[in-house]
Amino acid sequence: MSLRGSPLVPRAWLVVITASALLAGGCSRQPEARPVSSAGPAKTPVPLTAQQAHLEYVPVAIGSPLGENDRPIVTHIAIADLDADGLPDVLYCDARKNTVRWIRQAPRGVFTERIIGEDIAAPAHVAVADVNGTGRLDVLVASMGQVTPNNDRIGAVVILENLDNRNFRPHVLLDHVARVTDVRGANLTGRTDHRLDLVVGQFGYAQGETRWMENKGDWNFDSHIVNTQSGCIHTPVADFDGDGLPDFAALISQEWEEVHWFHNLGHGQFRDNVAWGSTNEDYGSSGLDVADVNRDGKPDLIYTNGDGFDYAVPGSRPWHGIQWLENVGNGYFKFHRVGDLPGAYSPCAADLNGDGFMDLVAVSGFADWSNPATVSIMAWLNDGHENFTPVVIAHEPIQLVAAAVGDLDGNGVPVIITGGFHALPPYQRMSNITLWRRK
Amino acid sequence: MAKEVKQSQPAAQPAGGAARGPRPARHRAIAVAVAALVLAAAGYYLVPAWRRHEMIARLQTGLPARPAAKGMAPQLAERLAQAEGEARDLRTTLAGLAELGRLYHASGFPQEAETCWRLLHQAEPKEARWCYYLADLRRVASDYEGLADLLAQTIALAPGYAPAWLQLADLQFKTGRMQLAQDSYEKRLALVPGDPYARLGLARVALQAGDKARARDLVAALVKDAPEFSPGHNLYAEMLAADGDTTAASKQRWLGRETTRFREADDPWLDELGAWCFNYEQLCIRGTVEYQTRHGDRGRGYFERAIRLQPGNPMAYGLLGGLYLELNNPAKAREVFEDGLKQAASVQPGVMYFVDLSRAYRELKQPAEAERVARAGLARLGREFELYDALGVALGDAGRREEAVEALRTAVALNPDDTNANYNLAMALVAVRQLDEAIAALKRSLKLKPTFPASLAMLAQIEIDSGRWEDAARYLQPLYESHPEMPQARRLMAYWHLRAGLAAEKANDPAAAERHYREGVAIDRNQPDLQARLGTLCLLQGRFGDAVGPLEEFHRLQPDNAQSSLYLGQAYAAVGRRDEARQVLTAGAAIAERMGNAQTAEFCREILRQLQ
Repeated sequence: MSLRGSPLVPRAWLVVITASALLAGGCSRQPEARPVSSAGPAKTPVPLTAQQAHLEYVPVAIGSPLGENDRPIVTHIAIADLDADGLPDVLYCDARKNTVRWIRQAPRGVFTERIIGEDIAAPAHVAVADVNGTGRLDVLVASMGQVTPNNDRIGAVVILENLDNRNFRPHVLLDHVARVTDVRGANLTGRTDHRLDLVVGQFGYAQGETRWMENKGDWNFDSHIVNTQSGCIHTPVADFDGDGLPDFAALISQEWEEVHWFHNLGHGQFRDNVAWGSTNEDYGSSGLDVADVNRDGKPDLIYTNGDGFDYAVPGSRPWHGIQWLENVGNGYFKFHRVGDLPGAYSPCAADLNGDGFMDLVAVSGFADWSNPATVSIMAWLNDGHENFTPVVIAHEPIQLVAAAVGDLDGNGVPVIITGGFHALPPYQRMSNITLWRRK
Repeated sequence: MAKEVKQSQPAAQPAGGAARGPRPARHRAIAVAVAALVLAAAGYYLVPAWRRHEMIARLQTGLPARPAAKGMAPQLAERLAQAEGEARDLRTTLAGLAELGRLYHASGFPQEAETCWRLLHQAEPKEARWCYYLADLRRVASDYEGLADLLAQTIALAPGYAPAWLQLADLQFKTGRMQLAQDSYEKRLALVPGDPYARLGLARVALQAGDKARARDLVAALVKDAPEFSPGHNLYAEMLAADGDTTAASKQRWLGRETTRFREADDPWLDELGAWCFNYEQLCIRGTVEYQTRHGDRGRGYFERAIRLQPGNPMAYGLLGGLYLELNNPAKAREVFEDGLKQAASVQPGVMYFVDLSRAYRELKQPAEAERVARAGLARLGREFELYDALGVALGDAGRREEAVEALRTAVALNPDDTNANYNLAMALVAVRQLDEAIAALKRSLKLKPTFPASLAMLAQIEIDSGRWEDAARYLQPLYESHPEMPQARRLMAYWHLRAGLAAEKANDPAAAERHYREGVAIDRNQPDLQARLGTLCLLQGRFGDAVGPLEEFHRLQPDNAQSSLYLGQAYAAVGRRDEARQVLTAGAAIAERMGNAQTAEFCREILRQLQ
């Protein structure tokens, strides 16, 4: 009411103020642009050469030599002192010959291969654990039934019972199930009988699952399914929440592309939690393992995505690479991208250059092999603050999906073991098992 | 106060303080007002123009540098040059920039695309697409924090764009923010009623919350309402299996396998970028994805564009030819493959190119051409087992059986465990009557693919034909479990149950016999022998009511078989369905007489007499 008879001057000034505002940049018909993201266009760091990084390796073939018409399909490698002689050995799965093989190191530096598991259809993962409390390491094998896509219930869990550190007896603990991709031993139920329960990942295809198997003794196990999604690849075990009970994680690929962790609540109860997942349906999850990347005492997860076999056409998938999920406590994980690697598989962690920090390694199974510059083994050196510098370790042999890192030589310097997976052309620059030592 | 002011003003004076001052002051005030108005008008019209000019200058200086032309398709370079020209023209800057962004985004230049979208976002901050495209690039770069921020911005600008809600919901789910995910899935569902992706998400949220019963209800409803959505069936199958409902789980497994492979939800803003793709390999990937998710037409379009982009590269010809083979169009496949061989004369095609072309000729019933192609492949690529395999099959089609065996033996020698080569060798060996070696090859074919259906069926048939029906089970069980939809699998499995039932009857175990018969008719209700044995077993046990069903089926399948009339008539008579019994038995007697089966005719008449 009071302004109704207000003087003219304020009205004039109102116009002036409006004009000034226009000149000053206000009164735009459109709102100001918000900053779209804290990050600008991603700059991919140029990898160092092994020479530049002083991280050169020399490859040596171990195990079965490559025959004239061989096209090895090595699906997994593990380093373990299977015969408890103090010298780490190499175990691997050969899905071309349906065998599990032991490359025994004895004496140091001398490797002799023998088959310890035969007629295990498409073995996909090998691990060791004293499942039956005998004091000897048994060999746990995940049998897919068939490596190439198949939804039939042809998976199996096979344990090669270690009879005397030389001879092994197979036990099929589970069969006619969705294709099995991982089996590991763990004391999930607070056992005091020295036996171990099992964690089992089942990729299946359209259907799959994740389960744990309670050890009832005498090679009898009860199954408990904890997740009913297809595409489970790996199931590493660790006490993620620091409550003293081993939990386990599962990398679930296919259309899900998620990492779950199963919280051990005790008394055989597990709670399924999503730790992280990609919204990219073609992310290509390919490998998951546990490592304390930032040395804070909490187990983190290292994770590769590089599976390109689904739509097996050469071509860039710029999202392929490696990342780590930082365990920030209380069951939460924080995603950190480490770097790119087309066709990345088999994440491994070790202090490669001896600087006290956890470095990462991955191999490539699927990439543009017509380009000789394509990388088949890449390392990422950690500066101690989890800033990673990529280093090209090798361009050949090509088509590697299996790798393991460990101190095979007993000198504190980790070696890398890789395995060739030659299911698709080109059938060139092939390998079976290769041991990579620091130059 | 207001009253006081009002009273102080002369009634005739217009309102306003300027009326109170002396005339010079009034003139000054008017001059100021006029100047202000002029200034305002100028500002109103000139400032936006000036700002626009400034913005466009900023956009133009910010344009991404064109990537090195090496390896870039000339068509892309041309379109980029054209778009850059538009972007540098004041009249078409924004359109040119958008064109550049689309070209870079779709053709695999994420950094250049991101620069374009950022500039556009600054110029048109209300346009949600630019945010959304930036979000997609952040997704590709595995920058999930950036992705979350940009999705939130997209939704703020375009709350009705359902794909963004789904993206956000999935992201929230996958980062463990379940309540937010649930809200976002519900928003998506409100925008796309019945949307299976959102419903699956909601079921998974319930699962994560530990509410298995609700999750199962949601998934059960989902598979009912969206039967073509495979993830629903797959998840439901595993839920049912975990709950011990194996039969229902098997059905859902089968449905999950038979329905369309999972594909991401339609996303028009991203999908339309496909039209701007000038990257050969990306076109091949896009085509393969479309084709494998049963969008063959779209796949074909991408492959054809790839061929236009690099007519000298055999890869896209191979993919397009393969697509035509899968679409049962071998003539078109042959045309594409042959065209590719001519056009891509300087580049060596892979092994499968020759294998597929040879197959196209075989399907066109031209085995000589199929042989020629396989031999051409061998000449160009060397001793590849796949080519010997193709050669052997072509020779077999041509009736040159011994040569076929020889070629296939070579294929197997080169790759001893290959499934196809061993199966084809087995077929060739069967044709030359070398059954033992054929069986060995069939067994080898199962080493890497233990449920390879053709080998399992063949081995089962061989065992049955050899009188070893019990041994057939080891092949039939996995065959039927993995391929229940396969007519041969059903027929063989039902036959196996018939034989097993007969054996059980012979062993005086009628319960086992009935179980086998019932399992057999559940697999194949059109097996008359199974229905007859089940019905008569019930008749013999005096369970007439149970006998009626299978005997009606037997009669339906073999109405001209007097035995079927006799058994069914007996069953009807025993359960008091006298009229039906008379009708069936009368017909049965007539059929039996016509066929010269006096005994059956007499049995029919005997029962008819008792029914009088």
